[in-house]
Amino acid sequence: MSMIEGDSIDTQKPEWLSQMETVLEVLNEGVVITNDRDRVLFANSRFVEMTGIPRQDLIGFDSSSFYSAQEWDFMRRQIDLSLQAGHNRYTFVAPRKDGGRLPVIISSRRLENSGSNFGIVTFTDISEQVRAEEELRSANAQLLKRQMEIEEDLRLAARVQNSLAPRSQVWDTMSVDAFYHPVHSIGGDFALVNSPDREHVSLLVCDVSGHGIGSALVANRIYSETTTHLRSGMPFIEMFGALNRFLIEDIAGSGMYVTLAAARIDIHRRNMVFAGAGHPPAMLARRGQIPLLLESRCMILGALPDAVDVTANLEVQLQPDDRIVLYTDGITEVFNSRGEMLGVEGVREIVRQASSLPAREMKQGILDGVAAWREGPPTDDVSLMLVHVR
Amino acid sequence: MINSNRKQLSVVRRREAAFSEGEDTVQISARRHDKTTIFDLSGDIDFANSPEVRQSVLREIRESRASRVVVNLSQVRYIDSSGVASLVEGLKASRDLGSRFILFGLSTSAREVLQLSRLLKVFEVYDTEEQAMAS
Repeated sequence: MSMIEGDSIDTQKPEWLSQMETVLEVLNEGVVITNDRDRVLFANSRFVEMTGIPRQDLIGFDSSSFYSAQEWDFMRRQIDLSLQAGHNRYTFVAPRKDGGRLPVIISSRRLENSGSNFGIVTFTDISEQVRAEEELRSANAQLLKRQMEIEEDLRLAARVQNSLAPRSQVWDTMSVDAFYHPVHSIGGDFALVNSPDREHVSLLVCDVSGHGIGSALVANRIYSETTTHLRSGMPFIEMFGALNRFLIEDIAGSGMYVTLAAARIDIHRRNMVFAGAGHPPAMLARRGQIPLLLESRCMILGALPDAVDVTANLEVQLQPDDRIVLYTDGITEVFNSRGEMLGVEGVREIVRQASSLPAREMKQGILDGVAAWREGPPTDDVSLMLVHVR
Repeated sequence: MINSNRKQLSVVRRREAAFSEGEDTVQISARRHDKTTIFDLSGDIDFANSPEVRQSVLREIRESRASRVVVNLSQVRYIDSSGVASLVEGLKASRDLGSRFILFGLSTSAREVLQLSRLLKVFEVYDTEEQAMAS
């Protein structure tokens, strides 16, 4: 820093300043008084402490000598603004003796006294605030990074779960069309179609209570368990019992329960065995007729040890052009603008109407009917499986 | 209603539902009368708030150790499978403590959800508080 020469009158303290010094010394903020040529007439002890610059290296020096040319350009513009408005307040830096910079809020005010202009400039140390903001920014950056990692994991999990969704399948005498939509990126619904041989097809729709990661993990475990059981041809009652024990004993305390509907169809004999556990009734639709409800006889699985009813199996003789509708409660538990739930009977009517459509259009007809009732987007996972007996 | 000590357990956050008329929250409070704890629930019980319902009900059941737990659902329009799960947890906790767990005032949709899950026969269900208290 270099002293800019000036006559001694320039740096003489005005009388009002001598009277104010005692007050200015006790302030917690740094205070500098400059004359109309931006020379420092006074700096309080707090300013000296903040900057580390001794008072003798401040008094009489031009303010610009403490800043780089670029910094002073900015300061100059702020001083001009202060001159125009009479005051100004902005965030900048105070110089330090070691050449460093201290983040501060600068408040400046112009004062006219006895025909002379003075600048009263206060410096509020915000280094703690800036440090906290930097730490916050750093923490936010880490959180953002972690969030992106989690979202990537969820995208991968969603791809894995979507791979479990059954694709449309066609046999000589039967076809299956499926729809799956999780309300979050991953959810607790799944459906599966299993054909262990050329004569039999097993179908299953399952709903794990809740949505999200926990439900999806349980759904994946149940998917594995049920796939194994269905492939082995295990009777539904035994399968439900095994799943109930698994839920109670292996993942006890999770507060998650499972409902499901399962059907095993003998393709050539057109015979179906159906069983449900705490699940909305499947529907057997015949063109133009009120659909037959296939009710669950077992309660939700995972809640109580005696959930399975030994008479759970229903046997149905199917006819050509029969349509079987399996779904989860994301279809029935939807509300209209009056807060009325569609419910099983509402879905039954939608299925009855849609059963007049060609089989390939019926699934969309049902989904459209449900969407027409529902106000707003889905709030629950939705699974729908439609079987057409040819 | 029976005059007794009423304790506001929690006011659960706004639920994420597409339909909404006014404040879409669930409120839980508990009254104690002799050896009975009566929970008054109002609002919709769904995935967004069922964890709070579950925690509040379980905590109160374990603290009060009442011989009879009665849940007033007359101001509950809808319960989803997560809400049903919370009621099952309450039932199991009550059974563990040798208490009865009773529901009354089910709306049509709440009754349908319990019916479909085949749990209606598991709970003691009454139409009114008077019937529940007289049981």
